[in-house]
Amino acid sequence: MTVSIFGIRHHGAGCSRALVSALEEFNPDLILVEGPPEGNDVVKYVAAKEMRPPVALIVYPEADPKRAAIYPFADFSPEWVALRYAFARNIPAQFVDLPVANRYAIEDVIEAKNANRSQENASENNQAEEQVEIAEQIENDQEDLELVESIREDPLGTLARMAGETDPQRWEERVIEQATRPGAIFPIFLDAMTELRRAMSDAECWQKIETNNDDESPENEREENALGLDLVALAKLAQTVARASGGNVEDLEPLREAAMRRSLRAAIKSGAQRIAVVCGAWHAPALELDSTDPKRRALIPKKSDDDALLAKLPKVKTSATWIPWTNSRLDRRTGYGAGVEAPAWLAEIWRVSEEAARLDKICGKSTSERDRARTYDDAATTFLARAARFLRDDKLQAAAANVVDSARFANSLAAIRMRATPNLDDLRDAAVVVLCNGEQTIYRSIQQRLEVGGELGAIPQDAPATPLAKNIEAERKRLRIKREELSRNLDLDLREEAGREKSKFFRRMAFINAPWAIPREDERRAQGDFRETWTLKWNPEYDVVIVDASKYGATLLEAASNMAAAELIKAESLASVMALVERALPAELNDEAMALIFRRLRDDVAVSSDVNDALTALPALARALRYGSTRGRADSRLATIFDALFERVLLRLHEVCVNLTDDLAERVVEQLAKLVDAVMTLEDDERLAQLLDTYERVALETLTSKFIVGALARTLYDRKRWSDERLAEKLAFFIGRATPPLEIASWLQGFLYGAGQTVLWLDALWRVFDLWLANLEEEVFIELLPLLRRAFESFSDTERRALGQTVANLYAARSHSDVADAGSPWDDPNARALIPILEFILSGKSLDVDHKE
Amino acid sequence: MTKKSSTSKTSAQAPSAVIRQHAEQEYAEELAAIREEDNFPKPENWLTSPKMTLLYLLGGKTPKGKEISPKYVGDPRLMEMAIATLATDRALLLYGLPGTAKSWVSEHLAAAVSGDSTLLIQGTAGTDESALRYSWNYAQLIANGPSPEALVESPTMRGMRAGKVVRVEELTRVGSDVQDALITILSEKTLPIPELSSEVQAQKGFNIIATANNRDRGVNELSSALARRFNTVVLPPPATLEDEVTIVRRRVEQLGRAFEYPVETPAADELRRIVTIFRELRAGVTLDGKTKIKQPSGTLSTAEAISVVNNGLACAGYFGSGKLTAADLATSLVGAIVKDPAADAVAWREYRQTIMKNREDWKDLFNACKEIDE
Repeated sequence: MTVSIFGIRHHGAGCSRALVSALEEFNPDLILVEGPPEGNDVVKYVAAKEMRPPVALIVYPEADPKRAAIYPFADFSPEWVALRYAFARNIPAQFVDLPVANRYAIEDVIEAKNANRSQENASENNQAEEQVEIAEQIENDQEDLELVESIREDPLGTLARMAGETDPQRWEERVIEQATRPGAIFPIFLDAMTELRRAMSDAECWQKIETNNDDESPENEREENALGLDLVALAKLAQTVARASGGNVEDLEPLREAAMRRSLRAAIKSGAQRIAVVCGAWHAPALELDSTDPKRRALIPKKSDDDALLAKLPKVKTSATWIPWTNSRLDRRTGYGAGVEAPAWLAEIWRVSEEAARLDKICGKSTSERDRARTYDDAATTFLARAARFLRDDKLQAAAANVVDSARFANSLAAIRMRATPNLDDLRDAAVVVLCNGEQTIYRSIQQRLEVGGELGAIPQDAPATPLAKNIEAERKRLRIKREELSRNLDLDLREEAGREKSKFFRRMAFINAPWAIPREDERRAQGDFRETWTLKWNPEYDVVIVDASKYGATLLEAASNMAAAELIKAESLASVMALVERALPAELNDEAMALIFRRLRDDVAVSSDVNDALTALPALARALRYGSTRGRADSRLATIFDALFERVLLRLHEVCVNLTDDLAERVVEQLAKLVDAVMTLEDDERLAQLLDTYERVALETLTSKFIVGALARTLYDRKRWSDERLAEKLAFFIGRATPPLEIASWLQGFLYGAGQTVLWLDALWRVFDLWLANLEEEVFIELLPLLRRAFESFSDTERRALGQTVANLYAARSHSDVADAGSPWDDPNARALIPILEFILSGKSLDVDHKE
Repeated sequence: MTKKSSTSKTSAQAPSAVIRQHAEQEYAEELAAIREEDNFPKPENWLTSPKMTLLYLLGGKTPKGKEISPKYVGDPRLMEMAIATLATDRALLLYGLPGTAKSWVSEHLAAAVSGDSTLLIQGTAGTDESALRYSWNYAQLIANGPSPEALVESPTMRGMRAGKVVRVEELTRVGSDVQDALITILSEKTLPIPELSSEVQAQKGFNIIATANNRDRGVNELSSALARRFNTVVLPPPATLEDEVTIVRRRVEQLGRAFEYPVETPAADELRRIVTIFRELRAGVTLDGKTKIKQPSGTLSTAEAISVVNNGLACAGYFGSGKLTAADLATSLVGAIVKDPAADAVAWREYRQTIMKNREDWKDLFNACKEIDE
């Protein structure tokens, strides 16, 4: 009975290749893989045809699904490779580790203990400094433990960094390349890890070596084995670990390794003859139950010790399943990070080498050194070809000849840098220098697609679903919504419950970043408030998004509400908070979230004194209020906020209306128009009256920009606050006060902004205007022509003709009207001469220049 | 014609009558030592292997322990890429802001690889084809008709015949139609001479190193056909203050030796001040990142910092006390910064009053600069 331990680097593509050869050589009849034992319930799905990495194993406590532990796997992850190997040959495979059920329960206990420690500390009336010190100590202990955990998570990486290699992945590939046969690296790793662990647990030993470092004695040289350890750095590391493990922090590692050993012992007892254990390199020395070296064997706890440690551990109820994952998330695990750089590149190397191995098997050869180098070349060329393709997708130049040149360049670079084959650095440099004309920014724009890739994994349909996914699926079925990847339009009638429910569902999905349906904007108001049109389109990426959202809740309502609350914290301006309110109200999020949102809105309104903000927010608020009333759920909180903002606008509107250039004035005018519309939709006459009062007041102030005055005058006329005569009177008033002609033109522009038929028959007004035009001096008139032209821009041809008609009839009607022009002599021939000019301005008809002076 | 300097065995070269020697002469000793120990594989017609060329450019120690001074202070990967480019028979385009050592690197690369940095074509708006290809001895041409004797070779031709590296400076200032004459040379490595029905084929070892800066107006961008034939390596301005100070100090020392200023070399702190001013104005923000500054219109490159210090040294040596003081630096400092009298003067004054005034140990420099304005 033999046990062979293969300590690997998580997600190390190099390790995977070596592992396959090693497993073939060893020919196990049972494979144990490091991973949560809960996964054993669902490990059978690994062999499923539909299962396609990147995928992840998710284990979550049933009472609190938000707290899931995620274990991602890529095609090239050694653990995945081992599992697939087992299933392909019908060999049993299991996960071994401390169950998440125990781990979470213990973490809860630790947290409670830490909380107690701080509380006791606080209640013991310690001096403030001491309290801070102790709090810092707790934090430091935590940090130390995290540092130690990161070393344990990637010990080979740590060694690599100590050997001066900036990138552990490259180092790993190099070490594996240089090994005589792939399987030979595992004993080397095992030795290295044993040394490392011994060192880190024996700080004194290393301190001695540190002080003797200058002695280049043969013993020291031997300690620096083939992997190139830096003793001084190791010694410092050892001190850190000693401090961490000696502190008040609970360390789960002994428990985990005890659990693994227990499973191993059970496997041995079950009668398996050749057991392969695939685990993180760090743990390998702890599992060497049958080491021939007595010193090593002495370091491993006995069965009785392990059993005692694992007895009566607290636990929570957990469930496990598989979820699709993406390349871009491959470096994320809940817990401690195992970074994967450039997963697309690693996947490519893996795919090419698998292909080569498969072909070799068919031909009956074994992969030689040169063949392995060739697979790297293939992967490198594919990488560069893909880079060229992405560049072309972005409409940049990337000739095929350049791809060839860049591949040769990459090889050249590798040679200068003393490497046998180009690695990712060389390929990057080659892509930048040859394909991107030296521009790093161009490379960065394709980097994500090229190195990480947008690959999305797939899981079998019959795998159990996560709670949030289950909830969403249940809702979907209840609401009878089909999951289709083609776009479909859907009309909803909000007067019916089914319509309302569907609308809520879509809005909540939007909150969790899975916008299954998008509202169609084109026939908005025309259909009235109870109709909504949506466009549905399912995107497979939403499966992963739903998993992400699981952190926020186990039901759609909970997840959406919590994510909204998270967004609220990030919202910076009143406008963004308002936008959030508008999305949250129709989604009918839970009370907690709505309370938070309203509180924030109220606070922001109280704090912000910006009138512009208020102007922007009011229409949105009005919409929200109206929405509430049509669905029978008016919200008093909203009404209070609306009132507050409304008051503010009433009091201080003039502030935003003074000293504006015409384009800024235009924007204000639009806001004012929206505001009137908003108040109209609320069907509140009192508020409307108050608003119009304010508008009138602002219109009469001297400092208000004339553009705005004109626009306000128009509004007041449209809303029947001012009559024709009043309007004409106001304009005459302006003119009478010797207002500069430019400003009058501005007034006219504001007045006519947004056109409309009503102004066409304002005889009184046009008469005043006409008179004024007639009395202008020539140069001034010419100066004003472009402005006046622009004022009438928005009029259609028919409208212009109608206006021209009005003007023509102005003087015909004159004899019937009682309007007395304020003392200006009426000169008929001159007046008639003006008509063509007016027509020219108003209708664009060409001028018959007939110089009659 | 260049005069050779009196050969001396010490690393401090004895000054010659020439203002500036070519790289292969100034560093003849280093190159000789490198080539002696060079057992690495070399492409054909290369005098130094790529690996040792890297050592020459970046500095360090030869296997036998001889010190090699660094020529390029910055990211070694850029030098690796430049050398690898030449080794793969791709033309090299060194691109970047003015004053980032493009011509310097080009010269030293040519010196190391071919032992000759004089095959140089200076690109200007007036450069025409004859500079890149060949021209004629018109008297001969008219007298005896087209013949090889009537041909006047360009540096390109000479480089192709001898298998050496040819340098083209400021390629983007050359008109596009003339630039494109390089396309055939680079892709087919031949220079056809239609008038003689013959051609010159490049020997192994021929390559082109071009430099271009991306800041000037009136720049003729390379056509995509031509750009495709170059590997573009962008040389950035020095990344850190210390790098830049090192560069300035080295160069100032070298030039000081060449010009024999009767003055002692400036202290590192003086240099640091000047370089700090340049870096802050270049970036538009103070070194600690807290205060924003108006940027003057000039490039404020490292090369200009070097010349500011040199000027200062000359002033100090010839007109001053023999020791570099702030007053010596002030004039050329202001001159380097204020290139456009209207906008730059404002930016400079603001910088002086808000930043320089408040720095404790900069009082002398501040006062000297203030005096210039008054």
